[in-house]
Amino acid sequence: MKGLQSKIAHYQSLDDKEKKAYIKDSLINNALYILLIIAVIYTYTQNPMFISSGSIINIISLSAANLPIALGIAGCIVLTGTDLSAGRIVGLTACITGALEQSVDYASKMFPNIGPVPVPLVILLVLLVGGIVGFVNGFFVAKFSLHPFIVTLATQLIVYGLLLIFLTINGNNGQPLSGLDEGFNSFVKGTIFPKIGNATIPNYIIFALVVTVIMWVVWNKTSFGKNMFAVGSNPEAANVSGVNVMKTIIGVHTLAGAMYGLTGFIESSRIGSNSASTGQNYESDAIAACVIGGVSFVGGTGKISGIVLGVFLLRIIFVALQFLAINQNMQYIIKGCIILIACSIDMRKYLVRK
Amino acid sequence: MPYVCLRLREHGAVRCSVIDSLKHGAVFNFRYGIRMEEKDEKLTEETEKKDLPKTEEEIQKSKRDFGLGIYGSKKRISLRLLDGFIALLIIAIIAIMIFFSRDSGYTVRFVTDIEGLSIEGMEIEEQDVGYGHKVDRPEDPEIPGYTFEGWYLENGYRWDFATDTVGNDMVLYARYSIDKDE
Repeated sequence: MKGLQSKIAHYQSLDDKEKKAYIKDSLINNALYILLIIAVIYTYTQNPMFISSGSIINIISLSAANLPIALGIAGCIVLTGTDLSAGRIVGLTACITGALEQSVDYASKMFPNIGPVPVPLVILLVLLVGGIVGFVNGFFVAKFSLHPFIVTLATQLIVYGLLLIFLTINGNNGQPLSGLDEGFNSFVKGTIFPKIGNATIPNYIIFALVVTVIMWVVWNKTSFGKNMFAVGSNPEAANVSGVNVMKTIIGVHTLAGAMYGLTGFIESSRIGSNSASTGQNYESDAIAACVIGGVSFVGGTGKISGIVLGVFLLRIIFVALQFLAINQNMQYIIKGCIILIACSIDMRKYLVRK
Repeated sequence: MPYVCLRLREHGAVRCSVIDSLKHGAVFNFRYGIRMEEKDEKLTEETEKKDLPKTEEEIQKSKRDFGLGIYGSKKRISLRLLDGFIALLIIAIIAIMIFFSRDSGYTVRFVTDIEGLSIEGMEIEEQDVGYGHKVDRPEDPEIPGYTFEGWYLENGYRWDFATDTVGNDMVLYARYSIDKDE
């Protein structure tokens, strides 16, 4: 309230020319939120089912499924890097989960001699697999000062190759992994909440909430999080201040990899049928959500609340496009434009003026 | 007693000034720990002087309309151009949403032929269904010698007209079983 009052007081103290500039700046800096409001209103007029309990829960569910990968990749962006291998790591861990959690009586079971593996063990395994790939990314970036774009592009291809090989073992021959165990499905997609209309609130929303809280604590209350922002702002100054830059970079990438593994675990059940194309291009949505949420490519800035907001905003717009029955090809164009807008607004906010 | 003054500059450069009690000094410029050549220093200073606006009006205009790039470039970026670009993209997205949204929704086609046997079934009109809406169940197709079993998606999923909703353009295939009597 005080902030709003001070803004109003500041606006009233400006002259006419400055007021126009202030309004223009506000409109441009909040362009994506304005776009969101227009999209919601227009979609509702075309298809009132957009604002229904089922649709809102669907948006929340889809956002929750994409939140861990966004939280992971945000750390890499804070370090002025990126991570193009995120989607493929999600795919690999989703397929590993699918292979280990297939139902005993499924005809095309990949490992017929193994029953459904206990869920905690699978979670540890996917965190480990994702963490190892993240560690490799971080090591090459930190130790040899290679650009994260190139390193993660390389690991993206390597992970994709490993995924394709994994899908051919034990006579599977690249077939999608489906027929998942009911116990596993109910753990991920089941619900402990009462139904709202015809819609159910899946359990993975709780997982996403827990992960968000953990990441908030890591980013804001631990020295690791503070070091991450310091390295992202100015690695030389951080080094001079006593921060172990190499350890921090490796740690951030490893944590990001673990987040991707968790996303793969959730997606495995949510999608139900996991193949080589699972997780493809997930990183582009995650990066867009982070940039929209205020995680700048300049480095050193970002908030967990912003990331959550960015994920929701992006998901609302994508679901709105589905409700409008817009061609899938056109949706890619819109997605690209949204990313351009987010980057441009990011640039605008942090321009250095002399 | 001489003193050292360190000043952080742009793009990883550090200016180190060593000044003695008689105000004689030496200035060294470092970038990423490596001392810059004298000509680099001179070029940097010349470029900076060249870019600086001279009059008060020019200074105000410069503050309003230009900014230096944030990725290490000394090139000035016009804010007006950037604002125009952002506005253009927003308008483009809204225009795409308005002009390419289909009032009729997604198309649901019904195929009643028996694949592989070249037997054509009756023609059923396709439906336009909004996202999240249910499909109206059409009349069951009839083929002599065959019993209609239900409507299925291409992946083998049996469509439930009571609960399933449309999420994309789709085709529903009629499945039949051979009458045992014949």
